[in-house]
Amino acid sequence: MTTADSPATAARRPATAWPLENAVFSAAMVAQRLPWVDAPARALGLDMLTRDGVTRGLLAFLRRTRSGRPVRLRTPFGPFLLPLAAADAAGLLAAADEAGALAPAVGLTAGGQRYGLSPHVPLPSDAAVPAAELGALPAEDVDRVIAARRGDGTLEWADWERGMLRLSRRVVVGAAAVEDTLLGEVLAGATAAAGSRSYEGRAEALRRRLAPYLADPDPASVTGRLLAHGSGREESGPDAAGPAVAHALALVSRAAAETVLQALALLAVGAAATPETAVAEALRRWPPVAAAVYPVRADFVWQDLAVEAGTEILRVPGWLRGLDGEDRTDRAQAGTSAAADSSGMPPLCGAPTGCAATRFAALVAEHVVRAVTETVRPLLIAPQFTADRLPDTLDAKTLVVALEDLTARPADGRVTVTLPTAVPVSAFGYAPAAYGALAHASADRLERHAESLAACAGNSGWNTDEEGERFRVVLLDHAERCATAADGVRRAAKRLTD
Amino acid sequence: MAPQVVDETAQRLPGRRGPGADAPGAAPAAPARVPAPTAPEPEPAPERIDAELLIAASVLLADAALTAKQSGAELTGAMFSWRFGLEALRRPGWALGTAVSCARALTGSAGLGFGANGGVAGELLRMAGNMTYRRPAKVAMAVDAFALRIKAAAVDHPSLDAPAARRLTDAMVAGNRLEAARAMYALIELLGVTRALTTVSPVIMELLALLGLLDENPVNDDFSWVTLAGGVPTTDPILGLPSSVLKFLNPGPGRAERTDPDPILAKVLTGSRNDIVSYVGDIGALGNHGLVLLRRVECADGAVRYVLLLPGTSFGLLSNSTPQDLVGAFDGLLRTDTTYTRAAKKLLRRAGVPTGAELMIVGHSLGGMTAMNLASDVEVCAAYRVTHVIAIGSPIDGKRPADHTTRVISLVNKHDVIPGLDGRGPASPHDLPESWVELAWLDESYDYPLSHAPQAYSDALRGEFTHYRDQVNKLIGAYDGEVVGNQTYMLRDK
Repeated sequence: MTTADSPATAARRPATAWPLENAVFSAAMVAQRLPWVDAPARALGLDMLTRDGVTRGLLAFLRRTRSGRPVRLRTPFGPFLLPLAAADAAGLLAAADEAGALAPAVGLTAGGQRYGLSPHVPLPSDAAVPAAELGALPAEDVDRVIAARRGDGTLEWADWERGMLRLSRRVVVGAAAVEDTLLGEVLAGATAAAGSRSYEGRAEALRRRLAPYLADPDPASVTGRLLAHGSGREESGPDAAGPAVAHALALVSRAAAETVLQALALLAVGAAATPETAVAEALRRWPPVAAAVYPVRADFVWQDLAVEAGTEILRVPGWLRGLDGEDRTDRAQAGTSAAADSSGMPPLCGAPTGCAATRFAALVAEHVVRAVTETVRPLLIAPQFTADRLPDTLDAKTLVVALEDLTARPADGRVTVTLPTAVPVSAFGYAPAAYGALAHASADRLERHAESLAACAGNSGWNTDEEGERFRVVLLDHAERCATAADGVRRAAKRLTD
Repeated sequence: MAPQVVDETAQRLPGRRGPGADAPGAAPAAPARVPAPTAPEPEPAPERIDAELLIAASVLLADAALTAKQSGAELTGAMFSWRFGLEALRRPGWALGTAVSCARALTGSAGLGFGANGGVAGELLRMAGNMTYRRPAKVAMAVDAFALRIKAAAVDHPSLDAPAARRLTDAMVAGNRLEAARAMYALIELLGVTRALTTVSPVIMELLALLGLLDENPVNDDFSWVTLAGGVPTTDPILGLPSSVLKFLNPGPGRAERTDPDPILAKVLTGSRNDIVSYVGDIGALGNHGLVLLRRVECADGAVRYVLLLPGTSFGLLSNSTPQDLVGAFDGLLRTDTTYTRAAKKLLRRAGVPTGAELMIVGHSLGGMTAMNLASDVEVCAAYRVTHVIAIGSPIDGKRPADHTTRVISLVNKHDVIPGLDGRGPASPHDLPESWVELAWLDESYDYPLSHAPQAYSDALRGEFTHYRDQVNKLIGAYDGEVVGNQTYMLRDK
């Protein structure tokens, strides 16, 4: 409904927040840039005085005092019209979208910084790879990622992300694009530049990069299905399919890299029972697009609220979670799938209404979680949390999950030299039990090294001369030292896990 | 659990560098000669330890050293974690027992040795151990892994087994730097500077890594660990300065100025064509004073493609006004965003190379590194299609192109010291991506710097190794066509 065809006289302007409310909200946003601010409140167990606690408390207060109606907030990052309930946000944005009053959305970090979102392009329902066919696609890439674990079973974020982006390219663009890391880089560059002057140049580079895959599509991929099933549609050519493929790739990449890891953490602590519920809960609890800003280009009216052109609607699904009792973990056990949920705003996309690519990305994430958990058992190393006290925010990049083999490791030991993960890293701030688990794994490895070195010393190739025999003795000495070190480390690990 | 059996090394060992001959001067294509029946039986070579076995053992030791280091970091992290402190307030008895247990594991001389590392406290302890000449298990194993690598390299490079060279390598393995300095002096007296340098060049990274591990400087050890693990060092081996410091030593936005070639260069360019020997000749003619060449080719298939020729380092001064200086060479080795790459990007924009155009970059020494640095730049690869990178005598093995379809061709004279500066020596366990083409040979230009000169590469490709020339020319066949533009540019730091 637009201003022209609505009863304009009856419409009211949105309520404006008081200066103190603006100041508290702004302070909470600014404080998001200071990660240490929460430390005193957390140490004292005063969760309501943390940054997220203050934001949530203020939103609850605004909701109570404004009867749940959207409110205008003034912050150093711009004035926003803030719907205070998920249903209001959905209704407001749907009305604006219907009136054609919305400009493309941009993301907003908790600290108030704006960033580009992948421009929403509708994905035809027949383009998404069906669940039955999707099952086999991630297997190879999941195995590859599991094989890239460090000796202690943990995964470097960079290795995990690299593997998941590879998987996403296979599912969305096709097998030929699996090695094309540049495609992901160009896509990330174009997404980051969305809404800026440099976007056209980057989008053109993305079109060039996608062109060979659109010209010779893999029938098993989203691209192949999009082009094969789209012959009857108005926009069915490779040029028209490019933006939809790019959008799907952006969303699937993010879900596979971030949401899957968060879902594994939820499974590790028992906060979810199945891959479907784990992914749904991760997307609901930690939506990748936790906040988005929607510039309004034309006046429109929603219910009795007149929204003027120039207003910016702030949609904050991540911040509103927890109000209305949405924070209960029993939802995660209930068995709902994010891939089947077509209601509400998409957690991966800036679309004002539903997004089929988001549902497909959730489906891919569920399959990946299932493929991972069929082979290994996730163990949460850091940060430490429990099912009854899940964190308000969880950055996947800082999440350390160890993947423990369901069956015994191969008998030939692991060789990490020449792998990118070979150089050891220091682990900070873990709980003693987590250090104990890591040290246990290290003790096992030292023991296997001792056996390998002893076996190597037994090789007849050392018999050739005096120097060969000297090397043999060196290897035997080191084997003994590894065995002794393994004993010591194992004792310490046992103490740490007690 | 069954132990790892190293008799089956072939199943798990990486391939060795290059398909070239095993002995100096040997030509792989030479036909086998049948000895005359009357000729005396050749004396059998003395039996030696198999190089593959030496490398396998060095990999096992390196792996064990890295695990020991990781174990030390985990126990140190546990002991000095604030969570451990909080837990100690609740359970002091448990904390005391655990701390004693961790300390025992970390300091037991028959186990990890003085194995603390990681975090502020761990690094302080490690530094203290380093300066008091402690040799924890991880260092002892790493040192012996390097010793095995040196021994393995000597199989292909017998000059390393000569008494004078062995005196040097043995002293380095023992950590006796005074004796090593004396041995180096004796080697130089015996062979001269260039030949002494050439003699030790196959194991120069291992020797520097040993120096880093066994000296009193605790901040240069990262170089050694990265070398051991098979990566590209990001610090210098002596002082341990991070590569980011080079950013301050090699500043400037980069500039490209169109310039005309002098008559000699113009004459060389007139006869140039799509042939690797011709490209090497052009690079030699461009010199090392900042000149580079952009060539426009109307190819046989009707497409217009571009070739960028990048020469290497000028050795006159540590730093000059062009990107082709010694500081720029170190910068190009350790980083990707350098004055050379910035200036080259400006050249491409200034010359109006259209977006999406296909581009081949050929570089010698620093030019080869810069070619790879440009190919690993996402912006460059998004704007143009870098189809080929040809690096001649360049240490590029740690660099990777952003576009997986970029064909990387590396030409290496095994006597040349420079290509080994990327950390991948003849006995390193790591290898190149399968899609790369590395053509390596041993020619007669034994001494450095002669072995590094473009002319040495050009002579080898024209003479004994002409089959490599044919192989490269076949790979770059898409650039066959009419040269329609040869434009030289002068690159400057600022």
